[in-house]
Amino acid sequence: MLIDRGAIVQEGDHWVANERVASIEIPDTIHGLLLARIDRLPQESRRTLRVASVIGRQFGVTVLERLLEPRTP
Amino acid sequence: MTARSDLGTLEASGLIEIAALQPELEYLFRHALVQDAAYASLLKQERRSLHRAAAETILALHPGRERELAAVVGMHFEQAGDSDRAAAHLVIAGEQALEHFANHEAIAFFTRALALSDASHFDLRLRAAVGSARAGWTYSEGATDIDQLGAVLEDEDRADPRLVAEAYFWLAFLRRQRGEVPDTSPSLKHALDRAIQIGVALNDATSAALPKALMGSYVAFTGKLRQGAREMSEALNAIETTGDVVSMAIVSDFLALAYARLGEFAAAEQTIARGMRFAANGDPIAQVDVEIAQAALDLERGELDKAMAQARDCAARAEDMGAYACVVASNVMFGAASLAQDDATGAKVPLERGSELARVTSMAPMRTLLQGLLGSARALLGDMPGGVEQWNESLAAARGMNDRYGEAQTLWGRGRTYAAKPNSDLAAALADLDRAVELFDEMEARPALARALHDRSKVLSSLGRTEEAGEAERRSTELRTELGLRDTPLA
Repeated sequence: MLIDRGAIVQEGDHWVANERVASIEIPDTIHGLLLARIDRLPQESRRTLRVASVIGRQFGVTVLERLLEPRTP
Repeated sequence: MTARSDLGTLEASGLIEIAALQPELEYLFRHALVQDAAYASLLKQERRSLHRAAAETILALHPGRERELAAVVGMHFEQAGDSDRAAAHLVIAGEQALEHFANHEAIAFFTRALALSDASHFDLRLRAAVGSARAGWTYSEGATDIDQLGAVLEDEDRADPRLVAEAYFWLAFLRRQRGEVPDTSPSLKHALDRAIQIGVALNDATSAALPKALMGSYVAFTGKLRQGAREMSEALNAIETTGDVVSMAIVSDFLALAYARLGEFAAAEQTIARGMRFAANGDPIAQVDVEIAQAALDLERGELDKAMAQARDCAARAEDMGAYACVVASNVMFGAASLAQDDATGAKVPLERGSELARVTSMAPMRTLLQGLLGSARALLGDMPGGVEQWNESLAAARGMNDRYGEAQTLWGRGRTYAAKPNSDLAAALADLDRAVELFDEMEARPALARALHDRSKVLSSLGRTEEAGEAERRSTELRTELGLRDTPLA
């Protein structure tokens, strides 16, 4: 999350925090962290991920496409 | 944007990864927590709609694979709140699991199906209750399955009679398994009678014959070995081409045991060979079951080392499968063979394990033998009060269940043990052996009779009753020779 938002950057063999760290709210739980990460996805990718989560941990693309069909022209 | 480009984005972000390319492209959530978080972010109603759509889509995409996909389709309908369709697919999933010997999974599917199905789905509920009984009889003590079968049979008039007959058979089997007997249990008698009546009314050989086989095993258990063997043999012939292999293997097992106790060793061997053929197409538990009958035959014939090796192997395999009823039976055979070789130390641990598991499985038909053998082992190892307690429990259980063979075995074991102790109470030993001989004689249990007569002869000899001792030994020797018993009489 901190890397994604550019709040910590790699300099040589170590990581350095910058001023953006202060403005980032850190979720209390891993679940919250993951939700925040999902929320930052593009809207349609987010929708795809959510529909896939209903199918199961492993999911076939054919079933997923059928479930997403109303969205796809 | 298309779904595939979205999937590329999600893969690049590290949330999912490719799981398979063939036969179709599949992805995997890299961590279950990611899937959970995505799932939790959907509204409840939206989840339900998507689960229903997923179930219908899977069915539409894979026609002809309903059985194989029943578990996942059932799960989606269940999550969609469509209880009727969920229950229908979960029953199929349970039957599919049972066919592949995944008994624990099968029970879980049937339990969910019963919880979801409406009382008006008579046939479905009967299939689930029968499936659960079939899958669970060797693992659990059966009370839940008895309750389930009883509940679904309340609507028997509205269900398929074949299913009703099958449900009554399993109800009778489970009741018998936990020690009920037709003479004193109206519920067991009713279940047996209904199963036979329906089978006859349907002119269905299998439906009518299976409960008759169960009755035959009970008749043999009560000491009418020859009559019970005849009834079981007739039933087995009737279902040979139509019955399911697991039931036929179980009936073969009981029948072989009855023949072995009669000393009809050739018939026992043929029955075991027949049971092996059934079991080869059945589940691994049915195979162990028939091999336990082989151990019983070896034991009766006096091939003690062979019986012990076979019983030890059966017990280990049954333990691995969690088939506790089979562990109990195997350990009884092992304990009996060990004690016949005067190895009380070797007998004690397997018998104690059997005793512990008999409480879980309600393996009543073996309970008398188990307790009697454990009593002898404890007494021979110096714990006479513990031995007496076990013998008393064994005899009370035997008399409560009308288990004549078990009663005779315990009396014989107690008499032998009394006679073997220093400063032995020969009068008490003779009283037990007299009664054991009488019972074995009445029931034509000739191998056991030959051995009990030999022990009785020794006690009579110690009491100075030489003539009676000689007569008992003469009869014992005649029987040994006639039957070809292979264990040497102990000095």
